[in-house]
Amino acid sequence: MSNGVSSGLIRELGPLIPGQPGGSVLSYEITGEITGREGTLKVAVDGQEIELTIMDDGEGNDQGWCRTSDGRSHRFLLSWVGDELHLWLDGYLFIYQRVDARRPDRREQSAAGDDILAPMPGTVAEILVQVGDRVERGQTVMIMESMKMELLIAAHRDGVVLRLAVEPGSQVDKGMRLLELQKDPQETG
Amino acid sequence: MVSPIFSKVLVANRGEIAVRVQQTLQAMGVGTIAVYSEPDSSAPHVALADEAYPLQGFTAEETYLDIGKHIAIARRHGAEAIHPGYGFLSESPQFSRACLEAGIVFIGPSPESMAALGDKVRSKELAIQAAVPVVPSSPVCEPDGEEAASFGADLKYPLLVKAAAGGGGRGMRLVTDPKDLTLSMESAQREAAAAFGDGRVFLESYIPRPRHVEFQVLADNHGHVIHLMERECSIQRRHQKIIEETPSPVLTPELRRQMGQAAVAVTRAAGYQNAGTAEFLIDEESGQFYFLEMNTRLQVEHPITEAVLGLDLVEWQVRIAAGEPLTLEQEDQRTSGHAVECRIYAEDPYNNFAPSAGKITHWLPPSGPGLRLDSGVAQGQEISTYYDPMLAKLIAWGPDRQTSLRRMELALSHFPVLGLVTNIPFLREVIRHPHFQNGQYDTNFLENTPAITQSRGSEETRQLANALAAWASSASDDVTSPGQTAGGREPVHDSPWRAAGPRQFP
Repeated sequence: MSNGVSSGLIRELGPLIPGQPGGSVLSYEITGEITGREGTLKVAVDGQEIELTIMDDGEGNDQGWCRTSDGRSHRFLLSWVGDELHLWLDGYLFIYQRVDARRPDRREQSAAGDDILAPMPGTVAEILVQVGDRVERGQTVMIMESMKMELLIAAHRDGVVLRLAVEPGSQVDKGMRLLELQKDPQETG
Repeated sequence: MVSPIFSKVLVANRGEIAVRVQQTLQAMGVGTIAVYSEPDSSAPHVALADEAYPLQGFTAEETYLDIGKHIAIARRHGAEAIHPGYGFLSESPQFSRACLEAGIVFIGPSPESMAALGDKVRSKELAIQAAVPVVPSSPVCEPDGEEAASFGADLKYPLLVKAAAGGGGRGMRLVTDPKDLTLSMESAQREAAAAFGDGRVFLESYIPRPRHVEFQVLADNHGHVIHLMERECSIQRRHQKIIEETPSPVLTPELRRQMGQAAVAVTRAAGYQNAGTAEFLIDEESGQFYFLEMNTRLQVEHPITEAVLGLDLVEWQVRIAAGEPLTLEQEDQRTSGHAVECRIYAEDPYNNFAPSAGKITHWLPPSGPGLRLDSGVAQGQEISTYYDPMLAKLIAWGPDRQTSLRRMELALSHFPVLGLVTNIPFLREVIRHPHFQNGQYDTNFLENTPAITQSRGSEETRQLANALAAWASSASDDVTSPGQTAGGREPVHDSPWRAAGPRQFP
């Protein structure tokens, strides 16, 4: 490795709300060394630096303990799920995504404010609008079914339906585009 | 050796309840037959069974809701009885009747009493005959047309649209504006038809700040009926319970006596047998209670009753179905301590409780004094979107409420699940909330406490999480291709621990 500090970008995936951009991108710098089963690192995330000692559980599992400079010890577990990093800490599950340093905004672009995205995996049960319809913020545009429940998909803003990306019966994954909105041309601004 | 009550019983269900029912059957010396859909072929309820047979198909309709397939398997493999669990066919009088006609004992009520009590409209009529107070409601009606609109106007808004069949919050909608009535009723009809095979809906008066308190009853085939105290079920999301406790923090001994008597009266009026649950609403403002409906099956939350009374409700269900007399007397039923249950769902409370699916990479449940876990999943299992997202139930008992709540809070703190999003951290937030701790809550708790669905740990925890994630991300970069900067290629993900040799930063 080149000399200097190890650095990169990660994205914390906050709640994925249809049509809203994903979580925030964080930049990090790590100084320190882990040899064998224990080591102390200085990690700065978005400029905020903390020092932590990381201990392996000795079992070769994706888990261990870390100790912060206040002396407190925390158990953690890690798991890569596709391109997501799942981190369990203090009873919470945090999900991160590796970010391509050359294209850090890729996700925001795909989830730009014009799309209504599937909030969960499931089946499109019914589409209540047609291309060209004017919709208001909060209006139900689609009904999805997942795990035997119906979920009403609402428009996140006013606009005109530009394109339908699915049809009734379509199987969709979480985050997939359902419908594209265009700003209402009658509105200015 | 005494011969068992039945030689073999088929459990017509999946998930945690299929596991839990089999555990009691096996303890009674009864052989168990599991059935499974294609996505469930390696599920724990199949692994536990003495015999397991495929239902062939994926959706609930093709598998766990198919009466004919269950009867055929039970006959072919010599099941003397069928336990339906909860959900799926458990409240289908057609299924109860099909068992009867096939000469198989249905572990539950007769088709007649199930039909009478399982129908929310008819069960209310029975309650009125038994002089038990009920919430005002309309008959079954259709969404379009003036009939529904006029019932709606009579009952006044806001009101509830409810499915006449089933339970568990399916097919239920709160309507605040008359113009939403038709769409809400149509949506409720579709959901009820998909969940219960019966799309009938009706309208009911909405009590603004109700507490949902239910009473467990047991009735044998010889006319003996008792109740087993209450379960407080007011913590709900989307009209579905997520946390239950017993005793209820608000019931006085006098109210408990009155409601218990009402539960027994409705059970008797319907000529009901086996385990059932009478659901009530308590209007906190007036202190009045209303009979809501009867659930003609074992409830999801039955373990908290078992915890405070030291009973096995599934064992009693089996004994009663076999014709044995219920030997428990009302005056002997005294609770000990306090129990609370949390339902662990594959869903994201921070994203409007949207279901999550995926492979459970880590499932590390806690253990300890007073804890019980009823689980239907295992580490490595793939959770699909075909069925209900409930994964397991965590139950904590303690000699008093404070102790059981503390045990629950700690258990939820030490229950790592990775690979998909669960509601575990959220359940802990609810348990910790001052209003829950004080017992001052009603069914609108979540709506009135929006901050609880936004919290994601303290600033300190998030900072530490960010640092650990940065380290893990950086470490896996090293493994991928040393000498490159982060990103810009398809990463090979690995545990940071497995990185070869000492890692240097820098």
